[in-house]
Amino acid sequence: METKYSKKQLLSFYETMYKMRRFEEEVFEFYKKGMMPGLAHLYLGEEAVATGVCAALNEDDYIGSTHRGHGHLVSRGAQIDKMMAEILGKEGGYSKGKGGSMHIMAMDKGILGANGIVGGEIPIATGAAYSAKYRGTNQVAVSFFGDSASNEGTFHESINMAAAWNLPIVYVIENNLYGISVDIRDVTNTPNLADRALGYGIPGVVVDGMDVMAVHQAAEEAIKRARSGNGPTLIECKTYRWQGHHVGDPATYRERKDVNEKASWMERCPVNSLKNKILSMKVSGKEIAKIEEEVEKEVKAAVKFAVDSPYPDPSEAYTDIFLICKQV
Amino acid sequence: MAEIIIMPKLGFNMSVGKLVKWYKNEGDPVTKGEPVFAIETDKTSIDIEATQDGVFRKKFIEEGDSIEVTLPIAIIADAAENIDAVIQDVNRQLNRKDTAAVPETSAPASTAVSTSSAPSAVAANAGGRQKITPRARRVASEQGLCLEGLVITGTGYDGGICEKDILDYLSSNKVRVSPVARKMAEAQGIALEGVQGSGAHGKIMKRDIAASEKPMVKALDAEIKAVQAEAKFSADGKEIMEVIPYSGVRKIIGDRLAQSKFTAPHLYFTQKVNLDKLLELRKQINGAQEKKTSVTDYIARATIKCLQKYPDMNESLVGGQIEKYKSVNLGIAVAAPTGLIVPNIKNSNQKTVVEISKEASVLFDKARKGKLTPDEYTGGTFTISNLGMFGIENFTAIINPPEVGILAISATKDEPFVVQDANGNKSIEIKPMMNITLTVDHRVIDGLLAAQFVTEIKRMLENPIELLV
Amino acid sequence: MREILYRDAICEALDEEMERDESVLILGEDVAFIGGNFKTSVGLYDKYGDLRVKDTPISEAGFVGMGTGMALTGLRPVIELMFSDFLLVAADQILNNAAKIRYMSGGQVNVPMVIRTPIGAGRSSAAQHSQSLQALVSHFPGMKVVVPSTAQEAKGLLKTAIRDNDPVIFFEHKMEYANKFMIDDVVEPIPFGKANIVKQGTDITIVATSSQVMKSVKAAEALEKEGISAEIIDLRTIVPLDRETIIKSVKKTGRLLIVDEAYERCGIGAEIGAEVMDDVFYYLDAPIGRIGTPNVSLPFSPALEFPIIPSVEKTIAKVKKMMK
Repeated sequence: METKYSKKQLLSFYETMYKMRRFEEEVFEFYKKGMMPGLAHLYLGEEAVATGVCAALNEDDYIGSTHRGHGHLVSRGAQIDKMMAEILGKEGGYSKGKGGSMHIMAMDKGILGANGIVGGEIPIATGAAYSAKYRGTNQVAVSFFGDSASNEGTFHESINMAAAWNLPIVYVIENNLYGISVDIRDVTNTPNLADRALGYGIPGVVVDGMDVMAVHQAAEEAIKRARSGNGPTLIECKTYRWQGHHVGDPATYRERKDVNEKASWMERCPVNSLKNKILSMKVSGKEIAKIEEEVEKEVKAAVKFAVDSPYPDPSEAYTDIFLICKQV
Repeated sequence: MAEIIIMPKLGFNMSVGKLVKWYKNEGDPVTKGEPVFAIETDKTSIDIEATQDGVFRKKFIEEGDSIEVTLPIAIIADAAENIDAVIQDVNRQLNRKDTAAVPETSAPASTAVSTSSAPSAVAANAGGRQKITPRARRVASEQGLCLEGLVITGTGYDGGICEKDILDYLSSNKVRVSPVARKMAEAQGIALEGVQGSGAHGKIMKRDIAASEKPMVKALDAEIKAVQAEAKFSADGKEIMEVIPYSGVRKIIGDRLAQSKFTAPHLYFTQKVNLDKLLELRKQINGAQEKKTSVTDYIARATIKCLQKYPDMNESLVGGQIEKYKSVNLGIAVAAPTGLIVPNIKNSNQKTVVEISKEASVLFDKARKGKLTPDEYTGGTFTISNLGMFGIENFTAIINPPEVGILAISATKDEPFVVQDANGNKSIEIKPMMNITLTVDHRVIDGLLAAQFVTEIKRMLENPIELLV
Repeated sequence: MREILYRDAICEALDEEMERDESVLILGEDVAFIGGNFKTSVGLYDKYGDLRVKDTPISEAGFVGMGTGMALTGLRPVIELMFSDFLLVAADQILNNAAKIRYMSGGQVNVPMVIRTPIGAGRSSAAQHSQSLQALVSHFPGMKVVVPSTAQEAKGLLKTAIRDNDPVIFFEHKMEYANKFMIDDVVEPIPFGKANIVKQGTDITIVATSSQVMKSVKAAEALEKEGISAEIIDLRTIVPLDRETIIKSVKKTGRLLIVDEAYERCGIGAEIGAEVMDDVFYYLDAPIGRIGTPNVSLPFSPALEFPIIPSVEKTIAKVKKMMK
């Protein structure tokens, strides 16, 4: 049953997705200018997944994220200036420059953390769900991870325990078909990864990850299930990343099977298709333009904040190992 | 590794140092921390210690010589090391043409012998090196024991010498003697117990053995003995008990005092101070803390405050001009083994009575032990001198040049004192009274200023609360 | 004072802390219904229920990671790994995640989690069930490492571990579980980073961990008869390390021997020796010595196992060698 989405809701989705898109583009700019230490893994193309899922969450719900986590963070309302500063390794970043792109945390927004180990955050999110159940709150946890993470032991161990103990969690596979250069279809025997849910006795749902409304609808259902004590769901969002695994990866490995693969996915750009959908609902172009303008301002401010923020003092390397211990 | 030993610059104003004693002779082994020579500054004599182990290979000046600071005076190196190049370098620095590399005074054989043919040591050798633990080395050094060529039984790890072995050695070898001296004594059948050691910690050195074979007395000693042996009466018939040379530190101090007294016209101003409030305050303060303050500490503070109020008193006559100083470096005269010495508290302007008390204690202690550094007894801007502890009622002090004033403090005694009450009625009370006498150099300070200054000090001492702010 | 089995002292610590603080819970394999493979949580399931004492499937990485998630969201989980060898299965979650999360967040969060796991050889458990991995974990920043000796020490230190706000790994000794000890009626939490001088001595300092403390005491008794006076320090915690107590002792005695059951190579003896060397160099009368398990996999047959693991005899022999 398809839900009807109001103009307001869609504009809200659009704002989030546009912000995500513009944020990632600015991150890429920093990379090209040589101002970014290390690497970033961009969410470009996958905006609908994070937006749709997180829009169905409450303020105090938890999410576990991945190395490709900027999208999840933006959609949970993390401060993009502190995110940008962290990506540049500056003192004003969320982690004072000590975590970087792959390890951003913001507990006040329920963000348990991005994680640099593939599959590393899944048990942690599962633990948060156990904790919610233990404490008797109505909180839900969502664990985001990629197609290849669903091959890690931690995925299977976590989803098994969550299913066995009816934990309030939703597992969201962002299937963008590739784990760096390895095609998921070559290393698994299940074309629809959501089918793995059967092995754990929970529902598995396949969703068009380029359609924010479809994602949202599926997420809403699964979250409701979890919140009402009926256990976890495995949602597989079919999606695609515009760029390579990390910034600067030309991703030529994707062309060996189908040179048109990327182009055909890009035709279904989630941001553009949402924009068109909204315009078709007799929303004046001005409203969209206004949103875009606001987002531009915010993103520009974030960029400036990140650039202006100083690097942390070398002595910072020795702090925050333990909460209370003078020795390291 | 050869090390060039230089005449050290120990004080800001020190430009020349006089070497008064060599503790080592050429060929003697040296351990890190052992005194190698002593130098005399204008007040005291200071031992200079070796900064590394080695052998004292060559000296370039004799006892009694003076030389500019930072110039080389000796070489310490390994026993067998060739130091010709180093000697040339030193000679070049000293503008000499001495090319002889062989030390003249030591028996040539002994230098080489002391290390390479370490007597068939029970102390285990690992590749020609004595096996000795770091702990044992440290203990030996602390006890002033030179290990070079020593025969010590090693009972420690892997047969090496450990702390216990050092301690055992020391307790069974109470006599300390250098290896060269030991050999000489053995060769000549001289009993070490009877020899007086002139080295560090009473160590018997080569010269001591040499002295006991044929007496070699310093020129001055001979002179004294001659004087004592010959004339027991002075020229005009007075029987002489003792003749002491007017030299060294005594002469230095004496000459300076004479110069001060005979060049500066001394002017004296006395005030009588009622110490009742000060003594009461002091009692309270001392009751409230561990470090006990003395009356001198309060007088020092009062003087320091007054010197800031009357900065003309905080001057020195130097190089034909009067320098007025911002920093008040207050000197307090104290009796030291070598005579009167005035250590000063630097930058005492804002120091509290307790801080002054603490700093002064440290300086006095050092002074009594003869361990003040030149920096500590130079650079003062004003001096106070307290003879109160000897019960002196009144005295005048000689100015400590180049300062322009000095305050003499006498004993505190209970005396009858006229008190006036609110109605103008006079009565006699007993109060603790103390005389202070200010001496000023009348070339620089006139009577009015001197009078104001000493009166202000009196006033502060009689209103001692002011000393605490 | 009363007599108690080591494993019961641990159980008491868990019980007392769970009663004191509702946010404390236990997870692990077999911890609930049967009270633990080594009987360290007997009775707790009946008392606290399924949610607080949870039997897990065999998914070490999974449930250790869950512990981290719980610790981040207001709970104080005590995770049991049945053998310390299994921490290698969960190594990523322990060393790459739990230990690093506070740092990577720039201090925004902390992870108040305890991992309890037994070390030690001596019951023919062979190569994969007999290791002592305290050196491995200590090598990484971010984990506090506890190595209790007696039952009283275990109880006091476990209380501190549970109340600590950082990730702690608590290494129990499997050969001590069934041993009897005397214990105070009330055991207070023992602070981390404060080693305990178990016996005073003058000739050599022996720094020991875990059950090696008790073995060193026995060795010291034998050495005393030969005129050698050993001072024994129970390290209690490797991270944080009580350097001062060790240095002060070595300055007094002049000799240092470290006895620990982890593998010798890159082990605790090497670490402590290097760590205090700067401070004690001029006080040493002998090179610093170490005893650990040799760099071989632990063999199965008792004929092979016992001669190689650290023992009272080995300690006595090493001390004598260091004295001469």
